[in-house]
Amino acid sequence: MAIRVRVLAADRPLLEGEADFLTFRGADGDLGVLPQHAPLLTWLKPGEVMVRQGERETYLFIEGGFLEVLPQLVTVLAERGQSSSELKLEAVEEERRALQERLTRGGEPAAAQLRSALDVAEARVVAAQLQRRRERE
Amino acid sequence: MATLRDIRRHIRAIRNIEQITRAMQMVAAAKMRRAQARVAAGRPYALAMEEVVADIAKVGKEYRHPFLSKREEGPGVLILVTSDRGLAGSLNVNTLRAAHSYMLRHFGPRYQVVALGRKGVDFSRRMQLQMLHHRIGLPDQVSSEDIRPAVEEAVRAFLEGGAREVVLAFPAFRNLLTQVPTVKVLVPVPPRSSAEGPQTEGDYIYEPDARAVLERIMPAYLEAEVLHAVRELQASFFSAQMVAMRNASSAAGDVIRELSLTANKVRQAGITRELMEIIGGAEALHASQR
Repeated sequence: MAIRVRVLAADRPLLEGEADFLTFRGADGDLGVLPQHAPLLTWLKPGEVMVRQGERETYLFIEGGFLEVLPQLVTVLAERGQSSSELKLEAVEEERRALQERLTRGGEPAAAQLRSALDVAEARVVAAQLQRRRERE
Repeated sequence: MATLRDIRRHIRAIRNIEQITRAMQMVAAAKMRRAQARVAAGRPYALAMEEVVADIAKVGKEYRHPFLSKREEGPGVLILVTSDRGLAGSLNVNTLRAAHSYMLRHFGPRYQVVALGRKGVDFSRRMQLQMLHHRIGLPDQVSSEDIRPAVEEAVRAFLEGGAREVVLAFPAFRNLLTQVPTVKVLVPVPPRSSAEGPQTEGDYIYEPDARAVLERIMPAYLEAEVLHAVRELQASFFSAQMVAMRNASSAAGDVIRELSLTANKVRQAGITRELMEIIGGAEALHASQR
């Protein structure tokens, strides 16, 4: 028994296929979805989406978005996202550091935007660390 | 009759125009391919967003977001997506005409406009429509941030300004030769037929709660629609421009051929006349010597 899943970014589809089990970073905390789940609607925090099919686990990083779960179909609408395997730990740490610096220096006109960018950057660092650990195993 | 020199000058002028139209054709062709790839890659997201929102409209009962209820009164808001530049055949004219006729029919001549693209801005000024927001010079690789201010204005017009509908107009890209002027109602969210959508009885489980989720997803839905409309416009625009420039280049070629023919005739007539004169002169000389 599998469930149809599609993870779509605004500029391209990231994944379309079938899954036995999925995990998300939902608004109220992490959640796992099996086939025949009750209809559910939530927004997603920046972080990883895991899609397991058989032995294979695919990890995607999304910058937040929405999740609709129906008994036969799971839809993830993420404005931006990429495969976790594309994340480079050094690069994302550098990005986070640059954002932190700008925020502590202050005087930025769009501080709220900067803070949410920093949230995304933090999540990206966490995802990159997880990805590195997975690659070592 | 025009002199040979005039005709030659005319030919040179048209050859210059032809060079420009050919260059524009090639630039448009390259941009068209990229825009076409972007519109195809972005379509699944926009369609899925429409589906999810339509599902909510159908089964969501816990909290009815204002976007889900029909209104009897209030002005109409048109999000008008056109190109900044012309030389693309009737692309913008067709879109403007379709949009205007819809708005006239439903709201009369005093509707409000959110204009993305210079042609729509010019049109709104000409028709003396109230422009809530306008934006010219969107980048080819457009992102949500670029269109967010426009969407925010439309949302405000509906939630605070008491608008009855938010309507989106843009030329939908089908293929190189076909772009379809499209006018669609975004808000209130159009209901889906009962056969479509989730085959469930109950409402969703919402996390954290229905109101919070809907208040986030509804603006995101508008953003997705407008973003996609801009991508459709860009693919349509470069296709229409490429075709228009190809036609212009081939028309220039026709004119050059015709003018060359005339030029040769004029030249030939001149040669013949000169020959006649020489022969005439020679004959006269010959006769006088005898």
